[in-house]
Amino acid sequence: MIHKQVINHRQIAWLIGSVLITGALISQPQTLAKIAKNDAWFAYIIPTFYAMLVALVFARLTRAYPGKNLFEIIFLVGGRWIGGIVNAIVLFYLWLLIVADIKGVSFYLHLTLLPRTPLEIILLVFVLVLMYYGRTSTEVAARVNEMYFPVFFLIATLLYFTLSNEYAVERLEPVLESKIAAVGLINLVASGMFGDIFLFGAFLHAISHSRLLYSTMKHGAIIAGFSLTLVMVIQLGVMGYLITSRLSFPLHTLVQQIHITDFLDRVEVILFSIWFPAFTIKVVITYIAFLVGVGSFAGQHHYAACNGPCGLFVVVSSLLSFPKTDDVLRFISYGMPAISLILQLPLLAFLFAAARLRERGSGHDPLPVHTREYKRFRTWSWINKLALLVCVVSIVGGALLEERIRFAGLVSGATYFFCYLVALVSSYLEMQAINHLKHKQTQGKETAAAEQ
Amino acid sequence: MNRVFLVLYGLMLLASLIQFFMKRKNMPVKQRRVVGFFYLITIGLFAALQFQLNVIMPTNYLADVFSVGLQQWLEKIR
Repeated sequence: MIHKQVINHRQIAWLIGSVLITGALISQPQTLAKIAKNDAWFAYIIPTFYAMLVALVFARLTRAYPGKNLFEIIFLVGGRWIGGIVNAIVLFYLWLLIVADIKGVSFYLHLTLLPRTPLEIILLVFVLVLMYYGRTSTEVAARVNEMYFPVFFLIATLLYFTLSNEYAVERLEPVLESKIAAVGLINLVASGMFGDIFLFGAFLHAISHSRLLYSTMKHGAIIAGFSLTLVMVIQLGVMGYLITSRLSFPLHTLVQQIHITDFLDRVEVILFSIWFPAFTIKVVITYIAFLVGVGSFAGQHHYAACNGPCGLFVVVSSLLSFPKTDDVLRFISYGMPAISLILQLPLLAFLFAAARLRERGSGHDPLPVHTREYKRFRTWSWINKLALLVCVVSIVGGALLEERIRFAGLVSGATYFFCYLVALVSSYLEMQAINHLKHKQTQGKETAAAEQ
Repeated sequence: MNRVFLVLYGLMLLASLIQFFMKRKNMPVKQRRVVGFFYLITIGLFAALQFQLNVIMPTNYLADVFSVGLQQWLEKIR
């Protein structure tokens, strides 16, 4: 078993938000705008459900195999050889994530900020940062993320106001004119991107309460979905779908449009200085998950011993992969989502079945149902489910009625956005309610133990 | 290939290998095998990097064939 790491529920939710948002912002808007044109902002509801599915399976695994991470569980369930093969496939997937992100950000920095610096040097310095964090633990990355992610989220939200002089609602209209199949397709593509949440399986040993884990991961996924929806609305409202679909780095060009009065210019430099650390933490977390996976093969309690060789391997394999910018952008937009779904769906089904079999016959602590905190938790949980359901209904209803009723698309779009916001708030309150419930349960057990 | 990178990376790899050879007797067997495996692949890929042998990487197929095929399929059906 790996040594105990402690990250609280808020850190997990923000880490998930950071991982999902920062990765999707590089070039995904281009792909989504190509497929669904000005309806690309409806792309993040099915991915949220997919992330919730992953969260459900992980919560079950935490309950069935307490204190174990994903790799240890796979070895326990599959045995030495089959478990080893499956773990090797998961490690290959994590390596693909790391290489795609490192090469993508190296190209981005080389093209936009550091054109005279050799690509190899940018990549080496970036991996040195990963190796520096690899000597520490997830707790350090989670604490650094606590500094940058809230600012990044706030800035993403404020983009609407800073770009209000460039924004035109007419560029989003007609809402839901695209075929429902196109909207379904962009949700499928974005689901693959949200598959990055799978890497948190490497940190299951850090979380003890399964129900809190589920609520936390759900909240993180909804934060990501809402933020990305908002950014897409702004992207399409400012630049339109035609320009967005032709840009390699649409968000970079979007923030370059910020002009607040005559002297507040180059605001994108400030935004970039917040986005870059948040993105780096994403790659750090992926790298630490990779080290945890390699450590599970080495049979060791701490993965830092593999940091040096893994870091050097990542440098040279990243340099050899994706020789051109288009290669990595195309892979991130099309290949990676497909690979995520192909690898993850069967593995999730297998792990869920394994967790169910393990739990059969074994009791687990039920939640105290007659407490005020439990009632609060149930209320917010139901509001959250209802809000997400209304989001789906609004898309389908709007797409079907758009041709017959003039304002159907606009009304369904507004309903979708409002319900997503309600889902965000209710998921936060649900997470807090279950956290208070968990504390009350823990205090009750301590009191009972003291009295005995 | 940039010479500064080659020198820096070469020195890092050498220092890491020396450290491994000095500490390997105290390492458990499994850990020694895993770390040794990564060093072997790294040295092999470093040699391939000098000849720009990008085709040996699985990412070559994933980027040039798999992703392109998917992109064309998505553009056909949308």
